[in-house]
Amino acid sequence: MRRSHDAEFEAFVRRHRAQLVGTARLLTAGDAHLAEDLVQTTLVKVYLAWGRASQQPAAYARRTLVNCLTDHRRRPFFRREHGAVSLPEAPVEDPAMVDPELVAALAELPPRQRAAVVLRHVHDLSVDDVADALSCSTGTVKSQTARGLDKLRTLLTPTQLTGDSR
Amino acid sequence: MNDVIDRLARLTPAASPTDDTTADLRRGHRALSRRRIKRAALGGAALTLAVGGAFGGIALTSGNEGAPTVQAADNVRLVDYDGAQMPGYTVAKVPEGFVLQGSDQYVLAVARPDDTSSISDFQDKIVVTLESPSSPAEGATDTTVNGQPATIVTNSEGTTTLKYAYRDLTVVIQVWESIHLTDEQLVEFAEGIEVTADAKPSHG
Repeated sequence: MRRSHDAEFEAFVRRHRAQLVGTARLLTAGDAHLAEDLVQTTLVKVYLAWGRASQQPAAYARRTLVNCLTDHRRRPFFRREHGAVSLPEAPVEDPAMVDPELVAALAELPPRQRAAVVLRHVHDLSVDDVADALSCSTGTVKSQTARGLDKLRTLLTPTQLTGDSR
Repeated sequence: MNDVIDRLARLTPAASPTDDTTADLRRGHRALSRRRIKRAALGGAALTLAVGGAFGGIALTSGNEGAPTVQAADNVRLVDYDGAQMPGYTVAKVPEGFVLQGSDQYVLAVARPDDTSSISDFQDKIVVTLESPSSPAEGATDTTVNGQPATIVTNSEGTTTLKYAYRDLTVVIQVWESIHLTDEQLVEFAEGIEVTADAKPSHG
């Protein structure tokens, strides 16, 4: 039974791990090391709950990832270190990040608001799926994404908002 | 204005498949082992322990230790154990071909001779430990060990757990499904277990 679970879990990891890491990098505003830590923790939790998670493992993993990030933000050491007051000039080194200014702006959003924006508008999940991932109502998703988008527009300069200058 | 939304859409992470899954699987295995130990410590239903009784005088050893016992199970039978005993528990019978893999103050592991895993990894083993009393798991059936009330239950992972009150604690014996021990054999195994003064409950 366990070997069967192992095979299913490995297939899931093979198929979804890279995307989970990418999502985690966005949720952590480009912190690749934290993103990898969160994904590792998430996958352990998915493995432990595979009996339930295997029904919809991707959705379960997304939900777990968001919860892991929330837990991380609540830790005292994180609160001590979190003191950004302005957008860093070069917040993301990861070449996969195609828009460092936007990622930096995402970093200014509260974690769950950022998660709502990322899941809704980066991953193009439905409002219902985002609500499931965040364990909140669809109304909360709509309000969080709206506020998040407003704040992003405020944070990004008008010239950046005009789009591609090339 | 969909400017920001368009830029967000372009951030979609790459989704190339991952070849190496062994590290994640290994972390999962380790976490599973830790959880099993924790459940034993908390009196959870996932672990099965066997009880013997020596701390203050309850002797659980059966009176027929001398004769080998052969049960009707398809692939395994219990035989007398005449090897070295381990701290914490003494064993009178083991499944044929099994040995005492090791013990610490909290767990005794009975495994196949070629099993090199940690005694904290309970897969394909019989493990014996002490824990705090807990309510019987859902679906548990009543039985007796040396005439004392006991419960036995098979969980969703296929492992079978026998619980047996010992003084103010509970002896728990867990048998992995791959060993194919019948409930009757599990009770017989339990009746050959004796708790020694070295044993400590998992909750510390």
